Amino acid sequence: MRKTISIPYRRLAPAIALIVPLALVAYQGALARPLPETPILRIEAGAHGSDVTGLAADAGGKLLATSSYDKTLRLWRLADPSAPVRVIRPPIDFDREGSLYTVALSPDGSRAVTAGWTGSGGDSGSWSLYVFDTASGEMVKRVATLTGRLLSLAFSADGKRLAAGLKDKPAVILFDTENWSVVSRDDEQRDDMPSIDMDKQGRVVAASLGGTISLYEAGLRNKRTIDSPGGKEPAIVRFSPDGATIAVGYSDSPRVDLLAADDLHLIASADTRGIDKGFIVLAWSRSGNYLYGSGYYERGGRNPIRRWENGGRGAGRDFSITNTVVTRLQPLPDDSLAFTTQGGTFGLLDPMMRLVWEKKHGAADFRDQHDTLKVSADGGTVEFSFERFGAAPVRFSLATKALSPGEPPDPKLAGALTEAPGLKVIDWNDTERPALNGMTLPLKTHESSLSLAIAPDQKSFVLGTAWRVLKYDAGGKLAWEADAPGEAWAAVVTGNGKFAVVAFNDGTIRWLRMSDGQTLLSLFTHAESRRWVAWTASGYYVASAGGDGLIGWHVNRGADKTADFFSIARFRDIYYRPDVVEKILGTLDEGQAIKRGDAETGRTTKSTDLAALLPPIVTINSPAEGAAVAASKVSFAYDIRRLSREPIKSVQLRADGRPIAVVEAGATPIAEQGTIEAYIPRRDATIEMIAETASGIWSEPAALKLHWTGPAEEIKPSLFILAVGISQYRAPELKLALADKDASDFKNVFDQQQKAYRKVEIVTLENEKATAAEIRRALEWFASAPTSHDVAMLFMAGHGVDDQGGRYFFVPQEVGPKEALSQGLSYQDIRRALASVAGRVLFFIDTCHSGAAWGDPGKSATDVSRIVNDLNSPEHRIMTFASSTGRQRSYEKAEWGNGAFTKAVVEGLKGEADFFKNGYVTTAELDAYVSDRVSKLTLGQQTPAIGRPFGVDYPLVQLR
Amino acid sequence: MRRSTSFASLAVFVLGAAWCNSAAMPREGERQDVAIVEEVSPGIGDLRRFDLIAAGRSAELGQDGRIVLGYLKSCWQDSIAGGRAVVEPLKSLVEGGALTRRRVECDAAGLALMNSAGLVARGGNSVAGAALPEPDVNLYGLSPIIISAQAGLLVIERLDIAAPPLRFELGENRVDLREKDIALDANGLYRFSYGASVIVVRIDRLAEPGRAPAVGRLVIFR
Repeated sequence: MRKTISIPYRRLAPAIALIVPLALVAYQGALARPLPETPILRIEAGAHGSDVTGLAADAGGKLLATSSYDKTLRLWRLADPSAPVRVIRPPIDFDREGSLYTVALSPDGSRAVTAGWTGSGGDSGSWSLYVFDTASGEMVKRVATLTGRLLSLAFSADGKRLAAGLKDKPAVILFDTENWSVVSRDDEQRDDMPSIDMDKQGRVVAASLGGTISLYEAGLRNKRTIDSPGGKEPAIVRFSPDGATIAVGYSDSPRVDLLAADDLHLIASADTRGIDKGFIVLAWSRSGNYLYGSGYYERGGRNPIRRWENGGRGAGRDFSITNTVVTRLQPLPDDSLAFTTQGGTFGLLDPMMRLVWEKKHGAADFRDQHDTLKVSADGGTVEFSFERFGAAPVRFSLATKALSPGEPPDPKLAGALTEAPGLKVIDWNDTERPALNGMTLPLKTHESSLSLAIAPDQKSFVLGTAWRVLKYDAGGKLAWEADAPGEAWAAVVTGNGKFAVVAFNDGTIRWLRMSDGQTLLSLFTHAESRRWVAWTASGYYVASAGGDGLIGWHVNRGADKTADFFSIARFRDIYYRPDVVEKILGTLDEGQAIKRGDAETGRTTKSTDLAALLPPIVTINSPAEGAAVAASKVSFAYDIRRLSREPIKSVQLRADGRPIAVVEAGATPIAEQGTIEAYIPRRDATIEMIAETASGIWSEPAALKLHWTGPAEEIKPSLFILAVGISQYRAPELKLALADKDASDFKNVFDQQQKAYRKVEIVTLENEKATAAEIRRALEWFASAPTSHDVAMLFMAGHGVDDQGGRYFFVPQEVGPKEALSQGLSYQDIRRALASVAGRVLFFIDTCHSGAAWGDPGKSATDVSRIVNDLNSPEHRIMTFASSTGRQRSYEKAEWGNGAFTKAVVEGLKGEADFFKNGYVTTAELDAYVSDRVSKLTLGQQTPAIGRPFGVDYPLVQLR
Repeated sequence: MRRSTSFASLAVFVLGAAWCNSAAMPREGERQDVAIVEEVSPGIGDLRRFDLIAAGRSAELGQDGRIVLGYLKSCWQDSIAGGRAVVEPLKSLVEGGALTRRRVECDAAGLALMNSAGLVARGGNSVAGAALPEPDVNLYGLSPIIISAQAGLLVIERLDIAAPPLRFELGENRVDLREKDIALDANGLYRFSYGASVIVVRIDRLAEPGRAPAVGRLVIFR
């Protein structure tokens, strides 16, 4: 729905039902009852993945809540919107269950109420409203007796009442929030109730798409109803803060009316000159000085927010904020304004209407990319853009498992065939009546055709619509249809005719088997971070560094409880299967791909009962999120909820990624409720608690931020560096040009860092000194020398190789290619050393040179993304800078004097990465610099993989 | 910097960024105390409270035995109940027992300095002098624990303000000032003199009263 076309409001809000947002698993027809117990794979990119349908704030304007068709409710702290403080997941199914249409937040911020396509699997066919405790995220009440889906909500000023507007059987209901009983209801409404509001006196105003506006006295008494004066579809009603005026916007008319709140007579209409489409959102500033509105109208490709002065009676001025339809506006104290949009963007405007921040989902915008989407004949390489209209295309290759720039053009990639002799498809682009050779291809009511791709043999074609992907034969007979996870904006049939590759509104590109429409492979790429993950129907995946945090399993806990969610990274050992993903397009069948992958890697894949392996859920009950602390000893009260029979083996508490407390079970199991007393660092810190089951599966971290208000730490850290670089391998075929110099140049940066560190200790092992025994010995030193106050860096440059099972080995100087797996230094050894370091630890790895010695000159012999993801997982949280992604090669050049990666690292540490010009280079600055610099040096052929624990940043060098 | 010759030479090596295969690590056979016994149940071998112990030492705790070990380098405090505990350089290896490990506040670098065999830390001038010395170690408890090689006289002098000195006979070569109800001042700078050895101590601004973890309030005279 992001395409900024005028959409009838009935289709936008109430017909949410027709949208299947972000479901990763194919639509399965009729609603399943009861709720699925099997885990459901979902995208989780840190923000809403579909249109934001609800936006609410507490009275203080500190806590915000957003709801979305993406089946999540998110809570945000206005002071730190970098990530939601909590993602609340209602029960869902594979279909529409769980799509949320609206949200309300109690004035004290303790309760979030939401509903939508919720509870349809319930006992009596009725719909449900959910009440969540914002502190824990738990569902504290389900009101399962709604006669229709709920479209609008409004709390009273004292939080004791909640007004709700319904569709299906339109009604206005007033709840007592103490016991959630119905205080009063009005079932005499004629049509859907898209908007409702309550003033300080408890009066309720409600809009009906039947063309009426109703005003109720407190307690929902003494209804007065009028025909809406400015249009037939009033979409939004809002009381002014003083309760004297009601602003009304319409979906079918550009009018904005101001009604007297005592008798609903028309006082005035706001200045909407020059606007030809309706205002579907309105909001008053808390002072009442300004009225804001937005809707479908555009100005130069932007969707402005209009602000009227003088309580809506003054001049209107447009502010161009976004290029998508604004779906909600929420006034905040100090006259700032929060907004949400279609597509999932959430942002804040200051009182001058300047953008303070915006949080985007990060999905690629595939609109108007009919000519941009290109695919290789075998489907293994796909080209697309993150931006609408297709600027700056990028290329994803399953072979290298990396994104690279789309320039220069690759003649082996082909776009959609949209014309062919005897196959004249017209009106396929954004109409509801596409036709083949003059014959209309029937679609559902309001279903728009959006994309077309004719098969190379010209005997069939694929039509992508807002809701489905349809394959027709040349005679117009429907061969199959597949439900879409969002609008199918662009499609290509591969040259071998085996796949329809379709780019959807949820940011995924999916490979549909042409024979039957089954989705074999899906790819999600994050536009800002360029992280990506590609997965098969059962969840076998391959991912970039950080990419395995983009999808996970949603697990229902019944109709009355908040669902659980587990990143797929929790099950990396089971589902990380690059071998399977690589083979899926060649075999056209997941089962065959697994068989071949097993044969190649020596694994035996068994069917996985995920439910039996689910890790526990950890909750930190105190201190509260954002709590201020001035003493370093803090008691953390926790709950552990087990989801399987597996006992809890250990619990860890981490501060900014480093462990500060560990509890391991002895003869008696670990208590599922308890307190851990720990010392936190004397700074603002992110605390994470995780628990491990007996079979070694870790929970998702329970996290909170603590604000340090005491005196700062007084001890300067020491720095410990182990730099290993091998160019002169004993085996001539392994010789490299610059790996030894890379190690030397890296450590040289830190020779003069006495200002930043109490002392600097460096060990370098180059060439013939870097034998397996010496490296092991040095790793022992590296693991044990730093104290808890210190910083330790391990730099390794040379050859690395994976065995068939994907296990990594670093190749010491005296070891030849044939002995690399038996005599090399295993990843386990390296990880053990890194994890043992008491202080902060960083790992720099550049071992992704050509795999020629291992028979694959085109690629690296290692898949470094797996290492980066493993080290960055909650149980390790080791910051890692790797030279490249997946099986990309690392490049070096004599004129650079280094490999591209080390050149960028050294440049950055010497000051180029000091973006804030404050004399320090921090880990975040180095991350940003190295990512950009390496890509530029190598013309996009090499992309560093960097795993940096979220929110962790500290200085590495002091420049002056 | 108040370092002995041996430590100073290590520091030069360190800053010079040279690698010597043996310099940074203890020599073979050299005893290196890595942990302090903070608490121990009666009858666990010959272990006593405030014993400094080397890596490799183990303790059989049986079913009900308990030991708390503070690690000098990692600042881990391991509370172990039951089973067998083996002292490793940075933490305990526990077999069959329950473990609660927490990172406590301690100045591991200062502890390493004091714990170095042959090191004699030398404190700075008193308050009458011009500049206050940098502390050798930061302590996170108001009541330090002093461990010495043998009995002798310990003098504690305040350096940053004028105050009467404290004097103790270390009859047992270990003393916990908490047991003598003595608490130093938070943020105070003190000189601990014992025979010819002097260590300058800063009591941390947030130092805890009473029974703070031992590794965080340890003063060692070798």
